[in-house]
Amino acid sequence: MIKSTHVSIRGICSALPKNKVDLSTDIPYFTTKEIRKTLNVIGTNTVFRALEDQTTADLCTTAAEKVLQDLDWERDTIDALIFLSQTPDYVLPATSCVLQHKLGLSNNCIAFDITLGCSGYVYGLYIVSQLVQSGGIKRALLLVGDTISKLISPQDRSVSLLFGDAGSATALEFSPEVNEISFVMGTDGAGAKSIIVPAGGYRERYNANSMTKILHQDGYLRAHEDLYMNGTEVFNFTSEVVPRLISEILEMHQWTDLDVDYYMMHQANKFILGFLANKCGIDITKVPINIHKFGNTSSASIPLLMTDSEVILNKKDRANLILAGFGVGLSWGAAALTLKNATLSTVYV
Amino acid sequence: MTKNEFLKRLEEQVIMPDEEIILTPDTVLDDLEEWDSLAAVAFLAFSDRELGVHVNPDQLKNCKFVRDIINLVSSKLTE
Repeated sequence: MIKSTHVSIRGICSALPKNKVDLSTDIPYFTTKEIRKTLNVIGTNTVFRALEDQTTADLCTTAAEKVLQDLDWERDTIDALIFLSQTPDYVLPATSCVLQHKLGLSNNCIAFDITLGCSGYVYGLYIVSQLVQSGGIKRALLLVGDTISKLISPQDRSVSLLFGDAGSATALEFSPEVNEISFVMGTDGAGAKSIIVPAGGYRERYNANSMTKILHQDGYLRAHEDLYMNGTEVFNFTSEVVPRLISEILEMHQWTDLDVDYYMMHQANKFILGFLANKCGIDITKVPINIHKFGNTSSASIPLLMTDSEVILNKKDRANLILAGFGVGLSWGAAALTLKNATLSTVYV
Repeated sequence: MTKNEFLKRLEEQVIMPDEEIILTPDTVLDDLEEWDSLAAVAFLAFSDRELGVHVNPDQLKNCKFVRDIINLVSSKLTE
């Protein structure tokens, strides 16, 4: 049973790069038929992709500045900064250290990085809320995002028409009143190679061949420095794990589907979201989708969905939400929480 | 669902080949440009949702003919 009891989400901001890409017209490598079929199934249409000199940290900085402004929080009141991403500025030092300085936070602020993807926002909320709830950390910034567009081979249709970039900042604060967040998380490293960038770490160091594009058995052209995703294995995993995850988190938080206002699901692709809603027996009108606007933005997908759903969320004083992220690792996590009085914004940089 | 109905659904919803191509059990999958990873995922979803069969992706990889795909779910099909 994993719960946080005294933490509030006070604000979330998502930051997107201004560079908008129309997937049906701006990608030169595929036939019209191939593009139409792919976009129809995965549900993408436009994505926003970072420029050469824009990193995830840049997007998260903009998001953090906005959230601090929205909440009128003094910088020296931030006790912790966590940067969660698979696309950091450097191998070392930790990007969170660079951001502590960039955001002008105090030297007493603790800062560290976490490397996770699709499940990352839930894991990030879990870790930061556990730091905050003991009271030692009063205010924390959780910065989550990715620039997966920098990892994909443009000629690999299985990924180049899917991913967009985004960064986010979530402000969490200790709450004297009880405010429960429940978590269920898990891991299956047996599927590590289902979503992987093979070269660039220390298992296979970057070398002269890392950039060489190879035509693989699946018919797609990519190099070892590029992202590989095995669609059927990932679907198989998702269809087994996620329905169980949703029923476990509901049970843990003592909710039924009727108690839930919205399911904020990682925007893996439109096809899988429809399949999961059906298999989990949840009302599809409670599953917001924005993959057609932003693509799959990896770890930023859930906070981006929340800020993009600002209109529906702010219609009520309080919104009962289930968050669910699943994918690379393989890793998964779900959270059940009630969002109230949180500032939500989306900015472009 | 009969085997013929399954073949029809496979054609219409999963593979969606060009109009000139009609699927038969002997159709070679490699000859079908439309039998790509998206179609494979659509098939896994279809068999899970419509037939309650959870197909292992490895078994799907080994299919060479359309009839091999039919055999993966044949326990749930009538003649």
